[in-house]
Amino acid sequence: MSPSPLSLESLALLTAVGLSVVGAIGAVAARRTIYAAFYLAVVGVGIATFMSILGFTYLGIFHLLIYVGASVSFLAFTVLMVEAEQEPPPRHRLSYALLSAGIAFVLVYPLYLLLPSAVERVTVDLGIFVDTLAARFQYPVVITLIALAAVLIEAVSVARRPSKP
Amino acid sequence: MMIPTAPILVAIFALVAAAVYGVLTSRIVLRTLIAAELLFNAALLSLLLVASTVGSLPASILVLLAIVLTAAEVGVVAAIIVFLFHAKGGVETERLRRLRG
Repeated sequence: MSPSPLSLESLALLTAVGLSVVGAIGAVAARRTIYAAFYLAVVGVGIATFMSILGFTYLGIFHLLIYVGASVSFLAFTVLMVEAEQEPPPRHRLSYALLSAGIAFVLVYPLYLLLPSAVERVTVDLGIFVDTLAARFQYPVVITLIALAAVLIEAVSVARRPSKP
Repeated sequence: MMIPTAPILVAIFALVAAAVYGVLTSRIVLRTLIAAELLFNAALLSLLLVASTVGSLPASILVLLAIVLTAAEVGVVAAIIVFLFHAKGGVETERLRRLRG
């Protein structure tokens, strides 16, 4: 008996929630920073799954390629370069956890009030997406490319600067 | 096909709470950066969830540009961290507080 599409959808949704929650908790609770970077990659996979479920499949693939594949890997290499043998453990406190939960509740509760209980899965056609990007969003794309080039040049110059005179 | 929003809101709540907790408790700059990235992921997911109810195309383009700029931001912050590690011998937040003017 083959599973119905609804159950597969629910399974994908549960997987995405599990990846995001486990990754978020692991990223702040991991004892070593390299494990925290690994958990951040898990969060990235969960977010990409959410994107695909909501209908933004191309964005999910892009998120996997650029964010998980490049950014988190780059972060992990940085952790390996600067990680100390005995790094100080995080200051875990119950008061901080309660404060964090309170701030998150204040930020997320308006979304809960404003959004409907269920949303329709959107369909974003790649051709329309690219056409719209080229026709209506030329300036944001150009500004993003200039900013991207500028920050990469800045990153190279900062990393190559001699540390001691 | 209808998708329930409650599980997505639970994930956003967990991401925001973990990000704030990570910023409050971290003693290494890299940990703070990782917590900030969690917050970025939560913002991205919130934007896409809202975009599912209103127009989806401009929001998806905004998300695309945000992902690209975040990749650049991680590169710059990682370069600064490497530089500070060479200059100061560590990236603990206590040590970097001495950089204040």
